[in-house]
Parts: sequence; structure tokens; C-alpha cells
Amino acid sequence: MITAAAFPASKSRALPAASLIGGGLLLVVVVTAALTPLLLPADPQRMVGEPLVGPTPRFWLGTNAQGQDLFSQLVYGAQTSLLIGFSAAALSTILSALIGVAAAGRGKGRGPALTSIDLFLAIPAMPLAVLLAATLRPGVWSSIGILAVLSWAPFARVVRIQAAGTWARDYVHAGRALGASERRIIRSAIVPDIAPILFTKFLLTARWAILMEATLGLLGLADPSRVSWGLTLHQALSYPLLFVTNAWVWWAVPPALGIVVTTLGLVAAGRELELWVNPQARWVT
Amino acid sequence: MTLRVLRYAGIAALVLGLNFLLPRWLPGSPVAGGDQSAALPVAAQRVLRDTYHLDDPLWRQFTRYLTDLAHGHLGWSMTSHRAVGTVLAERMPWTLGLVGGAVLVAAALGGTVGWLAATRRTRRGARLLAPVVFGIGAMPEFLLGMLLIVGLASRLHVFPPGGGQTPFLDAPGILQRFLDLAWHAVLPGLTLVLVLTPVFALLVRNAISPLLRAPFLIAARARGSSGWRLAWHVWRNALPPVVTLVGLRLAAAVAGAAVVERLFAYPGVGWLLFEAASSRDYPLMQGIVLVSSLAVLMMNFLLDTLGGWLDPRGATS
Repeated sequence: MITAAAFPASKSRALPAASLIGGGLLLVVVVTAALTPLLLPADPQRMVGEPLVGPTPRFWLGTNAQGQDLFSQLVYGAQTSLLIGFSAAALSTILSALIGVAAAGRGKGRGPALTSIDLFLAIPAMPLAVLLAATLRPGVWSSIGILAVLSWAPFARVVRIQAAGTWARDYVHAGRALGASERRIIRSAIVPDIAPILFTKFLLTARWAILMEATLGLLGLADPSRVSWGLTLHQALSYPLLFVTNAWVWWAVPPALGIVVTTLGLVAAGRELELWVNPQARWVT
Repeated sequence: MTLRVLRYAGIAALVLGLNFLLPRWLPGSPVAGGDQSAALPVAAQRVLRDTYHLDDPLWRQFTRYLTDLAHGHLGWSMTSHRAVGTVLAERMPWTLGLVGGAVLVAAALGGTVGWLAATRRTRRGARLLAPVVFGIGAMPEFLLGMLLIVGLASRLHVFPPGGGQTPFLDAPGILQRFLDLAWHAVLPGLTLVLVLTPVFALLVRNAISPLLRAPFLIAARARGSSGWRLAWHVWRNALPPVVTLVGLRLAAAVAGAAVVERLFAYPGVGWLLFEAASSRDYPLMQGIVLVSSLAVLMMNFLLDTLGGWLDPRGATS
């Protein structure tokens, strides 16, 4: 006999510690980035003190070889890096969804969409990123564009497979037989099927884009007129005595830790957000 | 098969076309530079235009580009004044040795860790090992590299902080030279191995875990198959994604590891790419992009072709 006990009422699950810590740290970074103009003790690009001093009450993380305040660079860099990371992830997710759906569809866009997915999967990301970043005018918008262009293709293939599966469903066939347009089928059958995985893609790409911004910056391809974590790292590594003296502790480690905290926070908090958006994900792990 | 060859030939043609068109589409010109006020004298501009045939119609430039490629000319490096092919050939062995070796070591290590994480999930050692490996995987490679430089090179002086070999080594014997090369490759190689191992470990664990409860394995165990035979059954089924990842990583190795090579001043293709980008040496950059794209394309083709043998359950379209 089936009793009510076989179906326990859904209990509100306690949040795991990792998610709480990760989410908390991520929140600190996001709030810092949002409140940058209020928090900024000094212009991050101006020489405000003696070069290469350790932490003092005035300069919390000391200064770099140009006498710029490193704490201001860290805070300002958080704003730039998060702006680039989240915008690139959003743009990339939109591109993946549009091109993936087009490649699975029945319309004219199918051929070009399939070819462009194959093409962008074939070009290795790093050399193309360097080529584009070196050729385009440096800036926040070109960074966002480059990172989005580089990261949409693998996921567009996932979207295509998922959407193609939906197209083969009986209820879609029935809908088409009843005269539903392609637009209507995409809106009412395909979008609900791909929405949950798009959210995961956004989080993964945001993490990748923040790392990639730092990587391109490290290679000297960041916009030199706007402080980002990548630019600070590049300037630190261009200083020949970085590892011979103790300069690396206050110069290179804070932006690197900022990147680690943000990306780990995205992973930890992302899992909980994902379960909240898509409760079915709990059963797949 | 014919269809597949045609498809890949088409993509290769698109890569060639994109590589040709990209610098011509993007803003700026090799003659005028970015800043119009600092433009060259008209006479000098004409000489440059004539030398590089910039006034020819686009299709003429494209056929010239294809003819040069067919003869193996990748262009002329603007900073080192040598053929791009020569420069690339000089750096390629360094990168293939460093990155290729690291990929293979990481695949072996990651395979072991992933196997242990999936099969020995109750043992304390394996339960500790997996979080450590995946924790390292969450760190960006430049942070790992920096920590290694600080710890092992600039504090303890165990390994050199950078470079590919000791310059001006007196009359080195083969053994001495090999040891010198290996000694310099340890830190950048270790960084790459640390970055890549978690990727493989995660993949192997996720490929193996569902197989452990698969009916065919329970049946094999019930028949009394030996442990080795069971392990082979599992591996054979987990093989396709692992081979794919190893292949793609090996192909990507042609482009070098830009960050690690920059950090350790290792004379590979990644460092070359960085040099080319910072001096805006377009022909060199294009050469690297073209060669590495074609390598990835060829590997994809190979994996596609091998796919049927690796996973005979029927390839999907």
C-alpha cells in the first residue's frame, strides 16, 4: 500500500557551506565593482606616492613601480574585469542560442549556421584572440566582442543537438501538421527546452571570459588606458625585478587572487542558482 | 567518407579565406598606420604599395597568396626579416616537446586520478586526492606558474626561472645538453601538467562512473571475469571521449601555450605569438594562426575518421 510517507513533503534544503562562502565572496567582488567610484581612494592611473612601497595606512596594498596606488587598481580592475566577463558571456550566450537554433531549424539559415559553427570550432581560440586583439582598437567593447566571438561555437553545437531533439518530438510533428509556423514552434517548444542549459553556459562563459581577459592582458593586449586585473598583471610581469624582490606580493598576487575568488565564487554560487532556476538538474548531477 | 573529405576541405578553404581577408577587413593599413597625421611620405608609400602589391585587385592578391602558400611561403616576418616558415620551424620543436609532453603526462596522471576517484570512492586516500586535484584545476595557470617561480626558482634556486636552455654552454655533450633542456622544461612543464591533469581526471571520472553500474559489467562480474578483464571492459567504453580530448589538446599544442611560455620566457610558438602581437608583426601572426588552425582541423578530421572504430555503436550525424 502506498502511504503518504512514500512522498515526503519537499523540505527546504540547507545550503552547502561551499556555496555560501563562494556566493558571499562573489557578492563582495560584485558590490566592490558596483561601488567603485565611492571606494576609490586614488586615481589608479596617477602617480600618487613613492614607487614600490609596502602597505601603509594611505596605500593599503602599497604602490607599484610607477607610484600608482595598487588598492585602487585592484578595485577599479574588478569593475573592468566583471564588466567584460559578464557582458561577453551574455553576448556569447545569445549568439550560441540564435545560431544553434538556426542550425537545427528548417529555414534558410540552416546551412550558413552549420558552416559557421564548424568553422569557428576549427579555429583555435588563443591565436585568433591574439590576432583580433592586436588588430582591433583596444577597448572594453572590442574585448567583449572578441571574447564573445571566440566562445559561442562549442555551445551552439549543444543547442543544435538539443533543438534537433525537440524538432523530432511527436508533439512538434503534431503542431506542424496543424499548421504551426516555425517561429511558433521555436517559441513554444524549443525555447523552453534550451533555456536551462543556456543559464549554465552563461555562468561557465563568464568564468572563462574573466580568465581570458586576464590572459590577454597578461600578454600585453589589454587596453592600456583602462585599468583591469589583466593590465595590472601585465605591468607587474613587465617589471624585471618582480620575483627577485618582494614586489610580487602586493603587485601580482592581489589581482590573481581576485580572479581566483571571482571564478570560484561563480562556480560555487552558480550551482545553487542553477538548481533554483532548473530544479531538475538536481537529479542529473 | 567522400562527403567528410569535402566538408573538411570546405572548412579549410574558409580558414584560408578568413586568414587572407581578416587583416584587409580590419581598420588600419600597413602603409598609413593607425595615425594619419604621422603618415609616410607619398613616395615611400608608393614603394611599399608596389613591394606588397597592395594596389592589385583583391582577387589578384588572393591568387598570389594561394600560389605563395602552395610553394610553402607563409610570408615575410616584418620584425626579424626572415621567412615566417623558417621562424616557425625554429620554435616548433620547443613547443611540441614542452606542451605535447605535458599533455601526455597529464593524460596519464589524470586518467589514474579519475579512475581512482570513480572506483575507490570509499578509500580515504582517493577521497582526499580528488578534491585536491580539482581544487588545483580551479586555479588559473598564471597563478600556478607564478607560485612555482617564487617557490622553486627565486627562493630555493632549484630550477631556472625561465628560458629554454643555458646560453653559451661550453662544448656540451649529448647527455649534458639533454639534462640542461630537461632542467629548464621542468617548471613550465609542471605548470601545464597541473593545469591539464584535473581536466583529464574529471573527464575520466565522469566517463567511468556510470559504467560501473552498467548491466554488462555486472554480467561480466557474475561470469567470474578477472579484475584486469573488468578494467579493460570499463576502459574500452570510456575511451572515445578521452582519445578525443587528448587529440584536441595535442593539436592545440601547435599554437603553443602562450601564458606559460610568456611567464617562463620559453622559446616556443606561444612566446613567438606574444612577440608577434606586441610588435604588430602581422605576417608572423597570420602564419601562426594558419598553421595552428590547420593542425586542429586535421586532428578533427582524424578523430572523425577514427570515431567509427573507437565507438562502433554507430556514429551520430
